[in-house]
Amino acid sequence: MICLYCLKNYNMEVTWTTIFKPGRKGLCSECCSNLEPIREETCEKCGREYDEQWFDNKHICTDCVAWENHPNYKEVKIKNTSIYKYNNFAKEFVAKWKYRGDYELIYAFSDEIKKTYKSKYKKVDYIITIPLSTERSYERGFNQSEAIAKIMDQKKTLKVLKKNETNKQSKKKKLERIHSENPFIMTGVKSTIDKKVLIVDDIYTTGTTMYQISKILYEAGASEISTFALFRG
Amino acid sequence: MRFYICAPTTILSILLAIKPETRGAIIALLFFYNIFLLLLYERIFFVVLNVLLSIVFITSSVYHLDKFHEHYVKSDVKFIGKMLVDSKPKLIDDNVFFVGKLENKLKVNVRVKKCYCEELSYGEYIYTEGVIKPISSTKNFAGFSNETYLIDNHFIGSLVTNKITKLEHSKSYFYKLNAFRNRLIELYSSYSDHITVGFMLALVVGDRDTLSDEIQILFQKFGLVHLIAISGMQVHILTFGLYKLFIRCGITKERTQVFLLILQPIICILTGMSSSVIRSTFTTGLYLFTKISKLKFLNIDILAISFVILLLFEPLNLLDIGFQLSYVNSLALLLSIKFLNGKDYFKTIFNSSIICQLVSFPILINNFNGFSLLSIPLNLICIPLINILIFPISLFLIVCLPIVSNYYSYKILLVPSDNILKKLMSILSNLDKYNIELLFPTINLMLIIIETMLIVLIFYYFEQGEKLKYKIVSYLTIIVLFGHIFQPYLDSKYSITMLDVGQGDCILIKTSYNRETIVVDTGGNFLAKNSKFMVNSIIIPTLKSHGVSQIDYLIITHGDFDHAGNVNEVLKQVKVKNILFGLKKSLTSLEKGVINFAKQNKIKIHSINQLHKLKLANGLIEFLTPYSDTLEGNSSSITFILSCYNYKFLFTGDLENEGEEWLLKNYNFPEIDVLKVSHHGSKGATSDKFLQEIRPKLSLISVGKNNLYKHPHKEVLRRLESINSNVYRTDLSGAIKLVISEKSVTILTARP
Repeated sequence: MICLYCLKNYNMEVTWTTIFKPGRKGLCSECCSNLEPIREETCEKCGREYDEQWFDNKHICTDCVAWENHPNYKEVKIKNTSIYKYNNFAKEFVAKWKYRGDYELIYAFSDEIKKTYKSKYKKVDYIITIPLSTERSYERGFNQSEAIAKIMDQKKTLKVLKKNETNKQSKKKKLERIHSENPFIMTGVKSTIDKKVLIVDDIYTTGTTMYQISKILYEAGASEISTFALFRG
Repeated sequence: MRFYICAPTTILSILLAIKPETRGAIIALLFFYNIFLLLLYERIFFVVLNVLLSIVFITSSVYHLDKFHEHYVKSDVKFIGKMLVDSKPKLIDDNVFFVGKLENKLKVNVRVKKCYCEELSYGEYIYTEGVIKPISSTKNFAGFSNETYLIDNHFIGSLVTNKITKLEHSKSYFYKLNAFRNRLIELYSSYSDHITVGFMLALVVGDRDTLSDEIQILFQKFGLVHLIAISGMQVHILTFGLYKLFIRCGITKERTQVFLLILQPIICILTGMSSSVIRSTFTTGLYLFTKISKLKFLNIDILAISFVILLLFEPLNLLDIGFQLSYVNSLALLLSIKFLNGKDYFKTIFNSSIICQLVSFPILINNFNGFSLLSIPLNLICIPLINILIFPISLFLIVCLPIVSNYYSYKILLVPSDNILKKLMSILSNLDKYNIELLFPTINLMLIIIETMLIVLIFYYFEQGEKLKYKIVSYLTIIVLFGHIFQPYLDSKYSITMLDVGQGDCILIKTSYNRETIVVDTGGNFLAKNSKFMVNSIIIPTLKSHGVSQIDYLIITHGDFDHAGNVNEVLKQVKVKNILFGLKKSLTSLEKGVINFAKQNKIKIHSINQLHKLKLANGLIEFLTPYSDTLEGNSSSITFILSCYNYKFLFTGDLENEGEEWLLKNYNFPEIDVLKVSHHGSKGATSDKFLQEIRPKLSLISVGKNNLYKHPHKEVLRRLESINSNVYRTDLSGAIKLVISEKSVTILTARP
């Protein structure tokens, strides 16, 4: 087996679940050990792992408290789940995947993504992907959110949003992001009325994107909104 | 490489060769397995490899079987020649017993009067003249199969001789090492009154003879018998410990690996070569070899390669329970690596012993039909205790004791540990009262397969973290297991099993819904040791395979040894409610002994005459036992008719012509469906007149292979043929089982 990330040859562990599965693409044990899975105790809203630095009380982190007081998003309630922490390895990983266009890398997580999807989001009606601006889409060649949604369930994927041209989120500062204008527009207005939807993205950093989209979907009548991001920054 | 996908092919191919009666199903399985692999991996290479392996294994199994059957002694054969003493000669009474290995690797049991031979020792060549006699081999549905054992160990007969000339000692290292092991055991057996020494020898050199029988039986009862033998796990611990030690001493990794690789076969021989030791040393050896030669193999592949290679040499090892358990446990532990890799050391040990118990469960209930509930907690406590504490201490003692020659040092070391062990044993034997043994009757191989699959599914979902499915499957498994336990209580069929106890009678009758269990005679052997073996390896396993642990009615037709010889042993080990004797003038000493024992243990004794009737679930037993002043011995055997549904079965014991005459005079026989032919088919019974009267459609003869009396007599077989009765014999078919339902009688035989 060749590790998707470091491209070294490695021996796959054979366990009860993999004994009769043909070798699937994955990470070697060394790369796996660099990932930090988020443990059970998390913020109820954004899914950040409990850490005194970010938490005043056990349930909600300080960032989410700040969001609660945000004038534009008071009515929006977020329920996010993430699998890994956005540590240095994850940053390099995402860079290689998204900015250097190694699309295959996402398959390293397909098991974990599927598992989370099956256990938590089996009942959602639609998976909402986050659109890229035309320019960004051309640059990257693929949409990271759609890549993840494809692993979850292609049939439920719904592309009803459009994005105006803006600067890259990752180039902005935290406050700029939180107070930036909502760049997303709903195109298929009626489709999400009274539906349970799941918003899928790769990284949850400040939560701006999630809040912006949640707000639009909320206004479009979605009955239940949850979000999934592979990494939690 | 994923070599392990070849292991199922290996298993199926060997089964194909040794179980020809299920050929169709196995070929289908092989076919589907290969199709499955082809679809899964989309590589023709695996299929080609599997087909090649199948051919190799079928040929080698057939070769092994043919070689055995070709040389197996069917009647007395004269032997003159050279052989090798292949076991430690044992002195029992006046005779010396040992295993002799012939030049073509086949073995014979040798018995020689002590006065005819000088002191023999292991690994010595001898020249001998004598007669090889056939070994009686029995075959039953449940329990230890003598026949499989003989084939497995290449025994072709037993040699009786009175002329042995010693030749030179074998020069091979194998025998030298083994001789060293024997000397070690001898050295310690002088301290055999110390219980610690017994445990030490069992745990380190795999010799259990020094341990008393009571302790062994105690361990067997609790399903802990694997603890008093060196296990593969301990060999791993030993190797790992040595590895750490050498590295600590500053020896390079590479040299340590080479040294340990050379050490593996030595460990294997010194620890007594049980199947789990062979498995673990061979696997460890392969593992070290791949490390040294820098080959990259999956651990599971190494295990599979060792499995395939060992079976290539001895295909029949596959039927060995120790071999099966050893590989299944190792496989399960390797597959469970994800939930064993924790940092908590104790949790890892705890989990691994739970995993081993779960996966060995189907094998245990398939072979032994019983499972002690207490064995679960006891194993959880004892396995770590033995692996971490007792085994290293034993190892230390066995190395140190010869050095510390002072007897008082023994005392300092041995006496305290003796006391601790004795206390533990007494706790164990007290626990016996609270032990509940669940019985899982033999119903169908399919059921065992389903149970195995359910257990595998539990692991599968557990690893996936799907809690709901994992719980559902766990509960389902428990439900299936309870169904398995209670199945015989819902089964309205009668079953009559004529056990293969060699020359003798032993018949088990099980009525509808397991309401009553009736055992007619017990078989018997003149040697007390053999009697014990027969009860433990044939009668009790057969009872358990019917889901029965007690006997409601034990019918002793008459007091001859081949009918009642095992009674004492049966009464000692099985709960019996009623004993039925024939009404007669005089009792044999055997019968008197039984009556005394029964009185002491409050077992009801009934003297049966022709007026007695016994009501059963859906059936009835009518006793016809002949009684008159002139009838004695065989002819006063308890005779009875069992009627269930619309069938009638006549059981005659050893009834002879006079008894038959008496019965004909005093009784009007109905049409009989099945006859248990009297007196093993002796000429003096089963007269034409009697047969004409009862006209059985089916006749069963319980008779030993190559017996001294030349039963069954040709004349009797001719008489039975003349009335067109279908004859089944235990010497040819092994145990015979009749399953009786309302509409039909099905005949099953242990030998195909």
